[in-house]
Amino acid sequence: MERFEGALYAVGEGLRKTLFLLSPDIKACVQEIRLRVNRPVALTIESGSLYVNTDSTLSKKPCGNSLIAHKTDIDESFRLICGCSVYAHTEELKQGFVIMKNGNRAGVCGTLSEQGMMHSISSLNIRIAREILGVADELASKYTGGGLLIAGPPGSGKTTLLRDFIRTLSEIYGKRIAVIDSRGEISGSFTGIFQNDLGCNTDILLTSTKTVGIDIALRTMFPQMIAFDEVGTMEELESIKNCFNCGADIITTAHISCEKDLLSRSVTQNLIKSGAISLIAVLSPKIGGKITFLKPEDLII
Amino acid sequence: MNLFFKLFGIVLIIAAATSLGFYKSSCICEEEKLLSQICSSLHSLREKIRLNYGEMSVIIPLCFSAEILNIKNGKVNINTKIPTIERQLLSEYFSTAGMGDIISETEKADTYISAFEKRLYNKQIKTKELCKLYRTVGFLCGLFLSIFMI
Repeated sequence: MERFEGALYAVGEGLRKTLFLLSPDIKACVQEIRLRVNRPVALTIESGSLYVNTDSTLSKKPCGNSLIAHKTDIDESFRLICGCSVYAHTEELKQGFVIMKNGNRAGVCGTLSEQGMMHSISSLNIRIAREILGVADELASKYTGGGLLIAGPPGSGKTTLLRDFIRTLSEIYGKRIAVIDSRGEISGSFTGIFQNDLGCNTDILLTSTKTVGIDIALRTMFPQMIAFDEVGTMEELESIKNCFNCGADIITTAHISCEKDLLSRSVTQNLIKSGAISLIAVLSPKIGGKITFLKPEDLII
Repeated sequence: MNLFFKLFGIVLIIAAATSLGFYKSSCICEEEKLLSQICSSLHSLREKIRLNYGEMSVIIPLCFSAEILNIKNGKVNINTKIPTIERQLLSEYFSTAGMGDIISETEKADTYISAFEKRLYNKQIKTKELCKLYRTVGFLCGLFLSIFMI
């Protein structure tokens, strides 16, 4: 609930009051606030999307009473998200997001100019970060060392699990971990202050390019483990192999919709086959749901 | 005794008029000082934008003293002590500042810096002349007043 209210500073004044008056139960389980020009304000919760009404109630489908986000609301929200400082978020905007206070992140849609400037904003997606301490206890008990891949569908809590796992390894097991945080989502970095607890033995490197970050961390921080979110490109895979050869273990996450995707998607398939991964944790679509633990040898025939 | 009182009165009148002249000239000097402070603050702001030092709410307090402006709840409040034209220029700049990319923001800052520097240059010339004038006029007024009183 506090995280939801903490994210409301970035919503235009015209919409903020209605969202603030939502019931505490709803506030506690909201994952995203979605604002689209001349469309009803939508909230993403575990079971799907809900639309906010002007009387702070929710409905499953847009109706006449729906709270509409007008262009002025979107523009004001964008201004607030950027802290009236678009120049400070140019690199993030080129990738379509802005790192916000309290570890939250806003996805931005609009017109992207050749220079990489986002203008004529048409929709915003304020993603509320979750920090659940102790969520990685089960994973930590199963982990025996080596590389780890956390895989699951979008919104299944991969980053939340990764964050707590880093904290557990760093704090309890005293591992030296370098976190390559390309979107500030793991550390919740805002103006150089880390808002999420990643343990006292963790070094955090904020960089837009993960491969560069991995190289820097390997050269300068001498980590036992390197953690980063969402492995997605072949270049990142090469960096992982480089890490493996240097003796540093990798902790990363990957988007999959089901277990079969681990081998059908080239990046995860190559990652598993590279030998850099010794444990795979597959998350169920439901947050806090069952985690399936797999060894690479269970998958590779 | 009478002459002593007259002399004392003359000195008093001259001293009062002269100090009034000095006070007036120091007020003008103060305005010039404030303008030069605004210029250096804008230079510092421009550099911090160029180096992407952080959001406006972070860099404004680092560049501007409370004497010029402060930022509260994301809103820039310009000190009312600042002369009207400068205040208008500053509020015009801050109404759109920060909403472009680094290149356009530094260019925008440059435009306002040159406008303020032009005003500062003119002010410096004017201040020099006016300070001298006020001090001399203050002394002379005191002198004439005392002669008239005698």
